[in-house]
Amino acid sequence: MASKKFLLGIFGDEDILLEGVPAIREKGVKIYDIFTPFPIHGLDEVMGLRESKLHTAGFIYGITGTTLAFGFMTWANTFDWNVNFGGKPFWAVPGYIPITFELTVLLASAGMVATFMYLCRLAPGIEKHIFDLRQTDDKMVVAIEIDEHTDVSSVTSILKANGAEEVNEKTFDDWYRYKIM
Amino acid sequence: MGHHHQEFDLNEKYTFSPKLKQLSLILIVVGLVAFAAGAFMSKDNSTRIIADLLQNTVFFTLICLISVFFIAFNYMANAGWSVLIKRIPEAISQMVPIMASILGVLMLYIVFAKRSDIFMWLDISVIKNAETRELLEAKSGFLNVPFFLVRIAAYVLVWSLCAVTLRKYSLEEEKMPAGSLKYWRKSTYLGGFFLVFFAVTISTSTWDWLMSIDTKWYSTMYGWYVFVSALVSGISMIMLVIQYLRSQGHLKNITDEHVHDLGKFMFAFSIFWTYLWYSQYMLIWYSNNPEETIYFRQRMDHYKVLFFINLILNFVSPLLILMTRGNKRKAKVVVFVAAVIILGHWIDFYQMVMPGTIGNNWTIGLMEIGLPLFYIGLIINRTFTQLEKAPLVPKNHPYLNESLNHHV
Repeated sequence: MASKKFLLGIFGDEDILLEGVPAIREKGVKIYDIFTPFPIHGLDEVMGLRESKLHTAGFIYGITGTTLAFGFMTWANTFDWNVNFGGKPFWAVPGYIPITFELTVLLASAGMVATFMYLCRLAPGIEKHIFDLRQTDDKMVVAIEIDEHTDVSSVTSILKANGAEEVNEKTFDDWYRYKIM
Repeated sequence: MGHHHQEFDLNEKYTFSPKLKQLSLILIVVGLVAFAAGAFMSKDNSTRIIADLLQNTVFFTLICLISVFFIAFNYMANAGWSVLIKRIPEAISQMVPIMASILGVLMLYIVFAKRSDIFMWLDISVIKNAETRELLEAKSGFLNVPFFLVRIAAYVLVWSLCAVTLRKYSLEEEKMPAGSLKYWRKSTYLGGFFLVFFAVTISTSTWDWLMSIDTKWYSTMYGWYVFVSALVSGISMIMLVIQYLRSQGHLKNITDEHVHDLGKFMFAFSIFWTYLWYSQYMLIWYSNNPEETIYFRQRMDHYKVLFFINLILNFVSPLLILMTRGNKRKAKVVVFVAAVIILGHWIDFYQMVMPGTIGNNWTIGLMEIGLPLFYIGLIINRTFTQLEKAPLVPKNHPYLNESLNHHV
């Protein structure tokens, strides 16, 4: 039973949040994550998040689709079973392109969705960690993980000084358990 | 992004740098001399001279016209991000009246000199083959001289008027009190009208000037395909001007975010061009009718190098180079790709015009290099002279703030 404790700074305005986050990070406070009810442009930058690697995965899935489709049709039509379609050559590249394209798109998109869901632990029925119910309504929640070295009172005052409306603590008793309904 | 304390310089002015002006004049003179020399050397082959003029004039007219299209679709789409770069297509669009006039004169010459070596339909009476004659007579409801002239006049006049008027509205807007929507509304209405007119005429004009060269052949994809060819080159040209200005320390309000969006256009429309190119190719390859396949047969046999370079420059290179987010934001990379795209589509246009006019023996000589240099010099000169005339930021545009705070 691994429990995790978090300090939550609740913000009510995205502009205050965007200015507060760099100031909080400058003080040496490590932000675990920020939860917002709507996308905030530029938040990833001020949080110092690295660029997502999801599109690299997408590229690899896409190339796999290209190779699979093109390779299979080449093998089937030229080596395994020659069929004369309307006098076209057996290796009729222009005719392969639509299918190659479709399979590239299919594998890239389906693969990216699956990877995204895996990385974010998203699937129907998986219980998520809810830090504060208002994070889906009108508040932005800055979560800071508390361990034995964290000076809770100083982090609290840093959060308050940089625009947090309130600061709460939240404990998850069994962090690593994903309850499936 | 929350740039709430950042100060924006909204009164930025541009002055045409003497060095660039000199370069543009050199390009004009060198281009003209090279063209004249090339034309003199091949004076026995006047088809080549007219075909060269036709290819370059149509190409550069269309890519300047894309600037008008760019302004119009941004008004119609209520786009905010593009406000800060609006002055650049505006300046380029002022080239449309000049280019369209040159094109008009060229077409008048071709028609009245009965250059059936360029447009076979101009003189049906000399055609001996009865079948061909019958085919051309069937098409003569559209491809006849009076209607052709009416169409040319309509394109030249309406395109030029729209370009000039959109620019005029934009300059009038400068003088209005802040918050006035009068010229923004007018521009939106005019943009809407232009889009409708453009949607029809971009197809019909390419049939007239390019597809009718191979009079016996036709393709329903052709108008779209040429349009996108021009579109992607036109956007690349806007990108080149922006990057030049940025490298000279201008356009400080334009960030990587705006460049990124233009880069996406270059990327996406390159793919779209390939889609159309391929759709046209595949349908003809698949149905395998001799009267249709002849178009590609000729190009693949006698223009083989260009045929494949075309696909590499216009599809493979933007696809691979502009695929990543980082590359779309790097000035050097997008400038390189923009130049490649313009060169690539110039080659594409070369292949549309030449096989049907000069035939299978083609060479790139002084003439073919000189004329594009001349037009590029002319475009640079006109564009940057126009840029001088107005502040670089349209400060009364209602969406200015959105563009200033643009974030992808």
